[in-house]
Amino acid sequence: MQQSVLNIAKERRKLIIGLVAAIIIVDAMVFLTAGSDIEEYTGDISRIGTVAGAVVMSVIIVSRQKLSGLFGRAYLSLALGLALWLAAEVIWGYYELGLGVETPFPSIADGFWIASYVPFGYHLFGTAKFFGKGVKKSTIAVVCAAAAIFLYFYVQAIIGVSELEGPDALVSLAISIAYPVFDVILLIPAVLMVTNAGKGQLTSIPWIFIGWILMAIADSLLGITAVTNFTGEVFHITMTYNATYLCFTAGLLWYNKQFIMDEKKLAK
Amino acid sequence: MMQHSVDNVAILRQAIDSAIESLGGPIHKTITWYMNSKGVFSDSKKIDIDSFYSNLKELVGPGADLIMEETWQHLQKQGFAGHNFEPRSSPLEKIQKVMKIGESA
Repeated sequence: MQQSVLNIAKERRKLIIGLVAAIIIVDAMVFLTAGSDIEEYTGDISRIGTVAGAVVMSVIIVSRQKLSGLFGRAYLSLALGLALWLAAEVIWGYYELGLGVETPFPSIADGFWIASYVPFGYHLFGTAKFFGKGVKKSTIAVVCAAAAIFLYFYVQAIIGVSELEGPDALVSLAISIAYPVFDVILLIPAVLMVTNAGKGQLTSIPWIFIGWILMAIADSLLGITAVTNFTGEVFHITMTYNATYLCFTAGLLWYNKQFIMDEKKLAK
Repeated sequence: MMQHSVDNVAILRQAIDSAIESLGGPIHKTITWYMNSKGVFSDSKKIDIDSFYSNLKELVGPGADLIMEETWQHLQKQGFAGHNFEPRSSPLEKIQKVMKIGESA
């Protein structure tokens, strides 16, 4: 048995190294092509590729695990959320690479991104019941207060720097505000689960929750650029999204291998 | 209420199974495999609830407390309620108490 515990620790180390290596490789391509003619290609293709990887893993999990129980439903929701992200990324990529135009804001892609908050919320709050046992009420209060303060100042900043004009300006601003509001709502369980991490052979790294924190960072950066009509380099935002999607994929790989054990191993 | 300690063990085992099953079938299999390999479920007439909890904690960390909570809820449905517990008793402590009473009955 001690051997199996050691194996889990070894597998975890391997996955961390693999994740870091994948982020370095993918993001190095984005970084090195920043400002070049192929910047849009590497940016869009890398994001579509990394989120597609997460979608594939989530579909494998749903097909192996089926829909029973807390985790069955939670991972179906995660798969739905990731599929919506993939659809949004593909639409975004189609505008830039297929049509050769800048993606309008708002676009159909925003509809998919906004819709994804429902299944992601179900997943994060659902699994938080499992990962979050023992979180102190004082910690919850501090994280909620910090999130509310961040949201207040962020929304103020968005409204302050907004340069949106025209008939859709109000809708665009509303969508720009909706993103951080939803992000922060889901950021609260994510941060709480990370503060409660480090316990349990299978659960010590809350991969999906870490991924969500990265997502909130990327969205915050993108939100500012969207409302300011920012035209400078945004490769760092793409790099953060890639890290997010890869972190989700790592979490799904971990879940697929460690939580859903192989029938052969179970028979031993 | 408590007829026989062996019955209680069977009921406790059933409650544990239901609690873990509520997470999902594959996780149930994984946790059961882990517990079997640790010898926790090796004796069908006896369950060391402390050993079960510590092994569960080692495997799934904070999730162990959710499983204990669910286990206690299942036991309550089976009629293991009505004892005087300290207001802040954890599900583990409640289960320990009712099992001890069952053993001495």
